[in-house]
Amino acid sequence: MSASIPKFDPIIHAPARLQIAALLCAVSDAEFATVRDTVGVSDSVLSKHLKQMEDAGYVRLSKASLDGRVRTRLAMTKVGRRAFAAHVKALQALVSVAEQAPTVALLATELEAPL
Amino acid sequence: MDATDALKALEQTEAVRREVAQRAICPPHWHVAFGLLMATLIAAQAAPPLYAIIIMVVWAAAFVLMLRAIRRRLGFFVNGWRRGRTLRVSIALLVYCELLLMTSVWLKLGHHIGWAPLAAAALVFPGAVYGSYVWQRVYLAEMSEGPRTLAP
Repeated sequence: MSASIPKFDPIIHAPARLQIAALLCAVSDAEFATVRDTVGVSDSVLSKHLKQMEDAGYVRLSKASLDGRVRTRLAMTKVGRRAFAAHVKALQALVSVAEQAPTVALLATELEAPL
Repeated sequence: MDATDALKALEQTEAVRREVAQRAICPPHWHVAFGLLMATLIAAQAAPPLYAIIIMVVWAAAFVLMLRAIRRRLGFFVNGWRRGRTLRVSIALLVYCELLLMTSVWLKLGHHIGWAPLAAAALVFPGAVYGSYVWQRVYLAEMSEGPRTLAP
């Protein structure tokens, strides 16, 4: 039996980008200011994270006018959504392995114990 | 990264989803507005062609205004046709409205019952309001469940 090693996505791995991805995967699109306030980062920090995600093809940025002001809208691409789902799966796998570890250790101890 | 970090990361994603869910709760009049929009779409079939066109133009403008209001209030938009469990609610609502629309048009054109679209609209209104509530409830449940349902 071989245990598969969880593969983490280097783009989504950073906590701020993980939160950005979680937010954008829950909606169709979101405004820059909403994402900034939810994640709790500055404009420049969010821009840097978004640049990396956009370069990886995970996020799509578009400009739209609302109330006479041009606003930036962010949306997760299909590739981004898939990457995020895979990353979450890897995180869950790691947690699951850790949760099972004490049981396995206990079983091993019981098997090794003299009758 | 160890299991503790992984658990912390998963908790962060859950927290973000919960926050989105809390923000996405619409006030009751939004559901009513949606019901009115859907009912107007059906009721317009009862009007003479020229008036029906005018109603449709006003309807389209109202629809755009509603979308803008949603975006302005929430800061994000959730498409009614998104993948997930909400899709079943959207399809059920579409089938319900389409059936009533087709029946009313058939009664009006085939049997000359001019008020049929108005009767259909009276049925579509409560159905659409209820459907909108159900859609929101299913979406909130999905958001509150955590990362198991994060797949696109």
